[in-house]
Amino acid sequence: MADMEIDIGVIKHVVESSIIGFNSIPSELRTPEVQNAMASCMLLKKYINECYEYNSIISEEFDKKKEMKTSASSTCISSEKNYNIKSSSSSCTNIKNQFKKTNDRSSRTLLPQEILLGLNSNRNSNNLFSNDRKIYNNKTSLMNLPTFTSQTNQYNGKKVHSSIETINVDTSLFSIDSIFSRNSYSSSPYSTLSTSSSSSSSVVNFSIDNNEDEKNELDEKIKTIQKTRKFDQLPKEILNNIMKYLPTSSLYHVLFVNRYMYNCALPYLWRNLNFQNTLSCFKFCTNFENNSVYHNNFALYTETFNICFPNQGMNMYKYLLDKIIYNCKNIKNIKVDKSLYWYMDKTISLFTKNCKNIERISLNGQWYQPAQTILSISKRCPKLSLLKLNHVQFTIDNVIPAFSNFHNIKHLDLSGVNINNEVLKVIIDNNYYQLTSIKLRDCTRLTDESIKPLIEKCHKLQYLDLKGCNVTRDTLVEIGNKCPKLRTLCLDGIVNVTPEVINSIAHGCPSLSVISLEKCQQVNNESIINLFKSVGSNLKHLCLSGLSLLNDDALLGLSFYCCANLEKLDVDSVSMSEFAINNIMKCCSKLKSLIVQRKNTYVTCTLSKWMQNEILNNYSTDVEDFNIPFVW
Amino acid sequence: MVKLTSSDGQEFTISKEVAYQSVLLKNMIEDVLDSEENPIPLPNVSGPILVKVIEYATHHKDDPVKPPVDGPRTSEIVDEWDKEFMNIDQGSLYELILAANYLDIKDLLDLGCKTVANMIKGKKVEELRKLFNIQNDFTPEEEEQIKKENAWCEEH
Repeated sequence: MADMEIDIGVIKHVVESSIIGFNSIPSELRTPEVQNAMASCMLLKKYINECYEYNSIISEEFDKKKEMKTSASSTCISSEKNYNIKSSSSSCTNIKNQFKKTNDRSSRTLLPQEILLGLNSNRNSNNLFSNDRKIYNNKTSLMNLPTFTSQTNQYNGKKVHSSIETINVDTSLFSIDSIFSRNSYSSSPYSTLSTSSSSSSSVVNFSIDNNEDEKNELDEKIKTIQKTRKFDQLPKEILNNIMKYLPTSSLYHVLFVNRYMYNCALPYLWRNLNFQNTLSCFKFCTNFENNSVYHNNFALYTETFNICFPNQGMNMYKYLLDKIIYNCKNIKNIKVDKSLYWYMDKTISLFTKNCKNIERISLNGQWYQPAQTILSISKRCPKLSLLKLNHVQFTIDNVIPAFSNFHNIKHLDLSGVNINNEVLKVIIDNNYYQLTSIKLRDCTRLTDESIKPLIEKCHKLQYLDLKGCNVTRDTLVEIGNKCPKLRTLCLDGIVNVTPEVINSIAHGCPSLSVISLEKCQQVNNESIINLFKSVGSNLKHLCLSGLSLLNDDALLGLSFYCCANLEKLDVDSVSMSEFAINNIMKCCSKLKSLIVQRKNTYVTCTLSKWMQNEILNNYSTDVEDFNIPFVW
Repeated sequence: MVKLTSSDGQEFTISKEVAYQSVLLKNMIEDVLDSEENPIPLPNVSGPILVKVIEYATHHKDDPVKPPVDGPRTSEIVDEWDKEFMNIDQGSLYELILAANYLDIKDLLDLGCKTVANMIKGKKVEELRKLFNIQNDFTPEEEEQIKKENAWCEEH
């Protein structure tokens, strides 16, 4: 039977003629059942229109993937059957009779949304074959249907349907059936109807006779799926929301579950290309060269691209560069983990030229002409909100022009960059209004002259890392007065952190959840307990390494005020008793990392061997845990 | 006070501040003046699910407004009460998510999605199909094709 496949256009036609049929029913005869059925049809029409829109977006992508055929079931519906449904729908009296009957049986009206979502289980006898129905068709089933390959050839030029339509078409079939089944049954378009059910699932076989031509016969297998299976019936917007929370490794597995899940997961899998190591980046780039699917997915979905290319592959990278960048219209985030030394300028300038929406750039290491690259970034990326430059050394003196065109920076990480006070002052003048995170670790040339305006002007600051900067006590006291929103504060190695500074911070920054005060040796018990009292259960991460003035009192204060959410604690070289540390272990139920003595310190630990072993067994003692992550 | 009717005809009376957790209800209450008299029909939410939604909204009615989170999204559920609250069967979980979506309660929707994400995390394909009771509708050739097209992340 050559013409038994129809596309969604036919379904649309059926739905539209059903609506016309319904409209011909006099309004006084419209029972709640009829009204619901009408509502269902209207909704279906809406869904079908959405399908058309969706199709036009994805058809390009799918046409190129000839091998990725979507389910034949989405299009495979008997035209004869539709004809019958149509004819019955146009016959007004039949419908009237049917709805009088159904009206008696039904206890409650069906809602269109319920029908579409298949939520109306166990409602009446109809649901034996009307609920959760899905047309079942693949090569292994005992059917004479042509395979999808021939179908695509036959319907070349028509849209190949994605799985989302499978769902919509299924529901359309289902609601039309549930509306007309009784009628259809009595007017006998289905000559036989056999149902067989098992405990877990029931299979419904329809064998449909053609009224006009008895010789042609169509077998259709419809499989109803277990009632509890609803996960892949969640609307796409909700599944998208779920996909957002999944890491790459999970998304990869979700791809293979079924077609619908494939379509949901693919954009999210390709959205963030965060390569774990140089090998996987290399692998991606080699596959990229001659694979149009890669080009497509990359162009359509990728927003984050993380380049970490191995030195040995540099020559190939040079070839690929143009191809990759040509396809990168949607890129928003660029990360270069391993310096591309000679190619850095070219790479970044090509990216910034092609992508108009770059929001985040992170560059690591040293390259040929950093000042020029940054100047071109600042001119071409007006939306840039995150700039991260790690260990970049400028060789020319005047780099102010390179930084003077940034106006939207929210997050700035200049760790280990040799900028001076003038540059930072320019950046602050241009961005103080929205700046929320700043990391100036080991910027040894910075002093009060620029840090003071930073603290005074940036009221939205949430993240402040001044490790290794030359800051005086008076400036540090200002942190407590001017930065009420601070959540992360790192003052490691600043000798001027006095009890006065800590008291001021305790007074002004109650939201702090990450505090690192490594080697701030002037800090004493009294001030730190004030701080604990103020931040209370916000505190998650605390480093007090090398604060030799602290003792049991501080630790008891900590376990008293901040026990609720503390996860990481480093108290290396704090003089403590077993009682105090035991108290912390008892009170802080969420504690995961605990360091009482770092490996390379010469200060002898005051705890017994047994206690140290106990800590080793129960907590992570990895110093790496205490790295404070930047926003990205 | 506000009256709500679930899809199966059960009636619930809740305080306004609980109802305001839902953007949909908030808009409805502001539009309709005598919402205390006329119950608001919620045809998409069944009684047992509405009980859960009200339980959630009541527990979180005094929460401060959360600032938007920059940085990576994690599926970690911090609040212990939330974790326990979400300890329900799959069918109810999906209906709860749909109800949260319909009533526009963002925190509950996110919580539900995070819960599902945590169910998916760390599971292989076969485990996922079994978990969600989904049939594989790919042919082996198609699976091979997908593998090839996404080879860059295969090592995970």
